[in-house]
Amino acid sequence: MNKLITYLILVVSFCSACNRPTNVRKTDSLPPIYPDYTNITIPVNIAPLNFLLREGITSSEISVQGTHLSFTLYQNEKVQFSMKRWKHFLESEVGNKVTVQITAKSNGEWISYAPFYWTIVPEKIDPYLSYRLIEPGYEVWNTIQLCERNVETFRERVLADNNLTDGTCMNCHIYGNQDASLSMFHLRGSNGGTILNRNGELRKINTKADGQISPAIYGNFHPSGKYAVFSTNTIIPEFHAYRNERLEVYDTESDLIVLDLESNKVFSSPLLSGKENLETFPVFSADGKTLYFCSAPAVALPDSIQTLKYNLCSIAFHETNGSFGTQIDTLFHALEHNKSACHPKTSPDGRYLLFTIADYGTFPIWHQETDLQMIDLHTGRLDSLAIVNSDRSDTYHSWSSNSRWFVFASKRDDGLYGKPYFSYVDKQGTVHKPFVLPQRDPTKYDDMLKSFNIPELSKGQVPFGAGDIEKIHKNVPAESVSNR
Amino acid sequence: MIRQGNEIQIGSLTRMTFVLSLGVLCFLFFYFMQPYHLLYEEQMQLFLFSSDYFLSYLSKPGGLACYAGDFLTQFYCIKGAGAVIITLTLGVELLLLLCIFTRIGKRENGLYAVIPVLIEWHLHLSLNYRLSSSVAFIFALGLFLLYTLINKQNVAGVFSLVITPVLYILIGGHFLTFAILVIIFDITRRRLSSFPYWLLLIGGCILCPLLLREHYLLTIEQAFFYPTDRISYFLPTLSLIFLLIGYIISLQKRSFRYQYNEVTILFIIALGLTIYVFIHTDQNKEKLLTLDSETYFNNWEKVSTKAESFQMQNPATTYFTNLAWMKQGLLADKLLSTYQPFTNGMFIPVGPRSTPLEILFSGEVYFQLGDMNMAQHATMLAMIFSPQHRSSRLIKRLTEINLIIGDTAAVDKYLRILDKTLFYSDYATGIRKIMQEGDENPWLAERRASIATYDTLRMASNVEASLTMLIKSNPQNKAALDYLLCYHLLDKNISGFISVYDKWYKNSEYDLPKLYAEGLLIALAQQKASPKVLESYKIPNELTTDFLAYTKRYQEAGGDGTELQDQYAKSYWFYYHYAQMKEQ
Repeated sequence: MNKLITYLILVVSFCSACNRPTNVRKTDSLPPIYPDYTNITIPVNIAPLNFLLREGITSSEISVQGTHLSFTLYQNEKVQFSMKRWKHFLESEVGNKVTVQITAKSNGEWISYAPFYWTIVPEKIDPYLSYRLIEPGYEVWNTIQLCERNVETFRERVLADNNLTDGTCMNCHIYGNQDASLSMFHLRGSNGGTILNRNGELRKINTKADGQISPAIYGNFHPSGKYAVFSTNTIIPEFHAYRNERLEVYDTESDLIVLDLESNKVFSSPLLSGKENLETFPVFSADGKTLYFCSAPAVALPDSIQTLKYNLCSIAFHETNGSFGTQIDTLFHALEHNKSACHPKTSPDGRYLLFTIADYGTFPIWHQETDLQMIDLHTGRLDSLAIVNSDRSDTYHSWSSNSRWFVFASKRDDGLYGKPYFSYVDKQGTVHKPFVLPQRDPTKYDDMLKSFNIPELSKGQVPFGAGDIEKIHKNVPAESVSNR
Repeated sequence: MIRQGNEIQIGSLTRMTFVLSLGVLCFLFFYFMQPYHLLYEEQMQLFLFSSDYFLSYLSKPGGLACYAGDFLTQFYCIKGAGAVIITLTLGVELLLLLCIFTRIGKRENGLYAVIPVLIEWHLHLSLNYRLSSSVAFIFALGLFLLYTLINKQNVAGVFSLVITPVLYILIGGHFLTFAILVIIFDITRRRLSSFPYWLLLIGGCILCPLLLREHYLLTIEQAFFYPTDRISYFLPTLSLIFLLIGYIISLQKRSFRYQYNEVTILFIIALGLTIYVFIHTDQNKEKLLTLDSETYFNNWEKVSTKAESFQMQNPATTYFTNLAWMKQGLLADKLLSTYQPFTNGMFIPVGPRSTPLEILFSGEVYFQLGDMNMAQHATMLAMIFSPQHRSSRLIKRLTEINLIIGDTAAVDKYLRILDKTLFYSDYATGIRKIMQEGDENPWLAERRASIATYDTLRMASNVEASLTMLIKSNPQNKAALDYLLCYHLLDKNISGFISVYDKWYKNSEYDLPKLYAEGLLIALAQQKASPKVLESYKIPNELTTDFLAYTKRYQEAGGDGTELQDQYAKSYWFYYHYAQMKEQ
């Protein structure tokens, strides 16, 4: 028996030795890793950045060199870090720049690639991320899940599954103040309604009041949690014809409404509900005193779709009596920039406003030119976020509660399937190169045929699950709302 | 047969012959009668050799059975392999059932065991019945057989209580098969009669799916039957239960007459169930799948020949026939030689009530005509509504579409997936070669020549906009032009037809088919065109004369088509006057 064990140890040692680099050739190019985790800034609480080595690599040596700690891994093309070692390493190296040196065997030859760096910052990212997983069928759904992922680990939990709600469509889950105890999403269909979570107590609200164009569509919470603002839209999906242009979705009419979540009363302003303009994507400022939204003059659609360009506007909002200001300000003039603005999101510290620009229209998800831009609300400076954007759609963003991180959905890998990317905003307002949500198995994105829709960060775990949504869908009638 | 006392037994040799004959019959049946059905099953799944893919099976009960079933199903793409696999699967089932009956009856008997297998055979005719169900059934039978071999009561009790929830995780709904067989066996054998044991076993069977369903995100019904989605898929289990009860009771009776009656009744019940399943199997599906597969493989002559021989009158058959004629340049010549359900045989409309097959079929015409965006949309939809939401055939099609439109990042995405398959990694290599060749590759160059060169917005249902866009992009796209002209003719939209004809066809080098000439004559008659205008269309004089004769006879008949049918049934004039859409 002892002999057998000795032989086994020898064989294992021999095999391991075979995978050690010998006759190494050096190259100045970065290693062919996927996802691209080269030269990025990461939060101290992120899960291990497991990655793949492409281009036929079969064996690899990964040396991670910090100021205080270092370690070396011998793996194949799939590089996965142990959770315990990773956590300990990040905590020890917080505030430092870590060097990652990869030597890999490809076609029988060992190659030492140029090192890359990870800057570990102490500002944590909110630990939970919710998103909708859906096939990019671009107008039809079959299976939809709202999920919550712990970004510090790899744990994913399903918050709602349309298999349990008669296959109905469900829209993305959004938080109030990045707080898991205040969130909502729309559940469509005959038993549907807007599901409101307040400290785990779920309500189902039919958000369509008399005279409204539609039930609530795009929405956001007031920081007080008393109000939610929504757009109501008539949405038309149509198809492009040319090359990889795919779907266009536009509104033939749209207005903004505010719902008092305590009294179930709906109100608006003539400035936000006229026929001449299309208003959409409303969001409150961090202090709740301003309402940001996008607005475009109505044009003949679909013929003039390319002239449909949304401005980024704001109007004062008075929380005490639920009233609006009398003047609309424009922060981003669409015609000046020859772009259309969408999805404004203010940082929780009130400093920045992150939004999307596209050539035209209101549905940037399939526009390749879609990019993120950021306005410093203190200085008015517009940042084009060159380091963040790609040549594919980058949109649907959300802030971390400390305003140092934001997440967005990007189709940069393949143009079809959106994935959540994180970017760091330092104290000077400089935005750093984004990196994709790490997965336990780095091949996951390769095999996956679903998009991550509207990723949203939150400080805590949502206090409900798919079973709760099934119950409220089946058993609870929707509360009605009325005009104030 | 050998009669021993009051018992009927089948001799070993007879039984072996019977089983082998059944096996041969089963193989021949699936090999010759269901080859396209089996191919469809393989094409509608995507089996990957990756750890993440394997782990995805754990997200639902029955992961082991599903993984094993899907692993075997991937071999269906080899001619005859599907028939062999199903035959062997049913053979294993029969073997296990024979062992179970032998174990219970302490003697050999093959008569009863064959009935659940026959039902299972018939279930495999359904497009929704997955091989994983048979695998799960085999696991349940195998473990039950193992259970019957345990002689110690306590060990048997612990075994059944432990294995039942484990089985649920591994094989899904068929864990009930195991549990019910255990209960029947123990009751009839009076082996385990303690109340807590029964409470635990039955309670476990009920609670296991109910407790785990939230974890698996299944409805109550799904939790009990997963991976199948309907109770009829448990007919083999139900028939086995009936047979076992009857068999055990009959073994305890001394009277042969009584036993004979029991068996006869049970046999009739099982046979009735079998016939029920068989009758409810749509035999036309295999024919449609034949047309679909041959279309996918671009065997156009075969499609038109097969469609003709099938003599089916439905929009899908016409759709494939029209497509095959279009690819052979015969659309206008042949259009009215077959059943044409107005424009429904040109494009398959997709809506909330469309079946997965209709959605699958609908994309082919766009791909062949060159409207890659609509082809992509239809392919994505087909994949979304395919049984497992991923399909090797549809991934291949998405690869081709993105290759044609030049979206190499998307092509790479799909090729990486296909690299992980057993049978399509070579395809991925081939596509990479085409990517390197670019427009020098004749296939790619031809495909790229027919796609849109400018952008437009249209509703998914607006096929006229799609065809017009293709013709404007490439006036040489005769397939799109023929499709649009025929579409207008079938729609009896004569003004639309002549408008397109005048713009794109009249001054082209194309010959004037009789169908278009007949349509033109109607249009020109409606316009009261002058002889000079008529002349400009170069319509043969004989046809004009024939048209006048038809018009005269039509007026004389007072609109009664029966008199015109013999001579003009295949003319467009007759279609224009008499074709009516039946209300569904």
